[in-house]
Amino acid sequence: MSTPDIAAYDGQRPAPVRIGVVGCGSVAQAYMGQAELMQARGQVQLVAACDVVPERAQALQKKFGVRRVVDRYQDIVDAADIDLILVLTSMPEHGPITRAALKAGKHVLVEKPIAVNLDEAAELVALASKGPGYLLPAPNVILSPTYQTIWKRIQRGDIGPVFSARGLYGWSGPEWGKWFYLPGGGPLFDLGVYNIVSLTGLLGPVRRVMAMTGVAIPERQVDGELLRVETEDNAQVLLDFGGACYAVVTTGFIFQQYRRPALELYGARGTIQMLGDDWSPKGYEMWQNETASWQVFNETASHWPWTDGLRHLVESIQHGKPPIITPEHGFHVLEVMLKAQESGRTGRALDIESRFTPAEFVGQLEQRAEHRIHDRTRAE
Amino acid sequence: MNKIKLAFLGAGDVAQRDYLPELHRLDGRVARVAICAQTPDRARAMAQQYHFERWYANGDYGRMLMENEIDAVANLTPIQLHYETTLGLLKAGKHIYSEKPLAGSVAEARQLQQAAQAGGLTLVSAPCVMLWPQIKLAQALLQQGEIGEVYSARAYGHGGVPPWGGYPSDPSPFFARGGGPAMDMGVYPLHALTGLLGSVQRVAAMTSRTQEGFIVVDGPAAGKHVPMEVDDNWQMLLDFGQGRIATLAANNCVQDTRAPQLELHGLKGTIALNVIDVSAPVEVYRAGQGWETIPVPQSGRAAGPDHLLGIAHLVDCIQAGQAPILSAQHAIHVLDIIETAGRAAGEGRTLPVASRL
Repeated sequence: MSTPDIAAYDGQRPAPVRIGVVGCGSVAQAYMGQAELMQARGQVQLVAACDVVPERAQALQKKFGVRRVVDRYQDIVDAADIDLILVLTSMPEHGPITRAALKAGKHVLVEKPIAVNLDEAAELVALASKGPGYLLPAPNVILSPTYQTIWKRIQRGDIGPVFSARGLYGWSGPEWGKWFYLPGGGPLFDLGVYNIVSLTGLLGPVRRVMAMTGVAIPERQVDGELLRVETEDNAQVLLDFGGACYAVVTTGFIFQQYRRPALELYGARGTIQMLGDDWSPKGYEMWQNETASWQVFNETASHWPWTDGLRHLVESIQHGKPPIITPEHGFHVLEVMLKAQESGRTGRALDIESRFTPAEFVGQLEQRAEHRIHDRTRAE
Repeated sequence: MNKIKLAFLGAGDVAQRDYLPELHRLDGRVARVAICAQTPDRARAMAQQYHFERWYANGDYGRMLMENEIDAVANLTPIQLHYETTLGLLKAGKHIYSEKPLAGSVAEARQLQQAAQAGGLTLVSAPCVMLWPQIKLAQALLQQGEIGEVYSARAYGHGGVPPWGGYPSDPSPFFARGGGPAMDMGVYPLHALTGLLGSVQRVAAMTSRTQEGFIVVDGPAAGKHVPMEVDDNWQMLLDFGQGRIATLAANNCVQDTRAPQLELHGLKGTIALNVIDVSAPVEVYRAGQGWETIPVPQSGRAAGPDHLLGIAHLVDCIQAGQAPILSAQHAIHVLDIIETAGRAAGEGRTLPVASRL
């Protein structure tokens, strides 16, 4: 394992974590916003960037002051002056690059999904468990203050045991990146993954999955060319959490705008609905039978960035404490998504074998509701 | 035109809440001949309050039919009695408006359909969502292509968590065999979804029981222990063909929600509406044009479900000699979806739905 640069250590603060970026597209731009702030604070150094399109890496270098651009990701994996690798490539490349990085002893933040098949993902989990590098699989949604507040409320029994839940996230789909529409891509892995990470984080591991999927738009204009769509662009996924609790996740590259909560969590004594999106919450609403009204909680961390996993991984490295976003959670979510895809094709419910322990959160959650809304359809 | 001589069979919760107080809207078109309720007290009280000429009790609708000239009957009995009573009424030559579900099974519902056909009788089956203004507005928007082809939809039918405080009758039929949230509440969004998107071709489901039973807290059955004989938590997946898929939750384990009840996601826009409330506006998003909140024309009822339109539709169909929009075939298809969903949940696989609209 490469160790942080001792020369840069000032005796008070931990040494900056040195970062290499693989994949310099739109997602990298967002992570660099976060990295730039941390670099200004001396927490990180942006050491190297690489992309299959060299101009993209050069643009990133220019914009964010990355020290060097390299041709191959292996150059970043092998570099002695890099501690943490951001894997932000197209989905099919996630597994191989992450494996190489972990084998080289690097810490890795890999964008979702962790890999495109379970064998590949299992190898990554095993490599990460041996260390020394930490593996943080995005999405980073469990780091959002709103998610954590909802987690605490559910744990505290504020709405009783949850028996039913729904999530919806979709849009009309990217006009770039052919891989989104080819085997290994698809909206479940790109979009549905957010709901599935949140729901499993809040409700625990999924025991069984059943899905319907389809191709709504068989041909699309992507990167200026007409592309034959070869993976499902539309999905409805049923999740069985055991204990009579089900959730359904709706996703696709076939959506226009909608008005809906990102997550709906229905408990025996109340309801919590996360507003906005899992990766950008806009507060939440809670119904409790005791108050017989909806309490509306505005977002308290409106600037929370969905790239927050980078900060978390850097701090985890500096404190020598494993990240709370675990490889096991990422693996579980991948198994759910792959089996959902298979279930959609075969029409059979499939058991989920993997388990994980959801991250736990402690601390105060008292926050006054912004206002209350009475349900006019209910007799008082 | 002669008034339709109408009798009510059943005078429980739904009759008292949604039908009888609205019946005046049909005053020029129906004559209130007789009402038959579970108990003499209720029958007498309802007959007096709502001006029926005669009242009957204890299921003695046979005598009601013999002693009165009746054209049509509104069957508002508990779910488990629909089949047997409707069959008897059809055999007696009466036109029928049946509360949902039409019968306890597809096989029974088909027998009713055949009995009506054989007798040349009109058989109208609730729910009458396809006559409600918000659904008709959505139907018109879809037909005009305002949101493009719909490939994804979500809906729910929440029956409320028992014990239902303030419920004026014995709630146990809803949780006895033949009842359950899919039959009671799932039918509303199922009628809307199939009415708007066409026949369901395949269904998958998971069903579970979130409570074993409950004690009734008030009303005439206060103190009674009601066992939960059916699964109270259903999640269905519906395949309308050509990659068009929907999800439907029907359950008795949701306290409240602020999510839209029915969402239709088209390639060019979105429609969101409340299936049950005839006063709620329809929300429409059109790509490039943004959101519009469209108020709906008044149905005749201020808010909530306007069930009386079902009886009005029966009167229309009898008088015009027309086949009902609220057809037995639609009810059979919805029953088929629910029945197949129950089997699909048990077998853990997607199953084809045989019937078509």
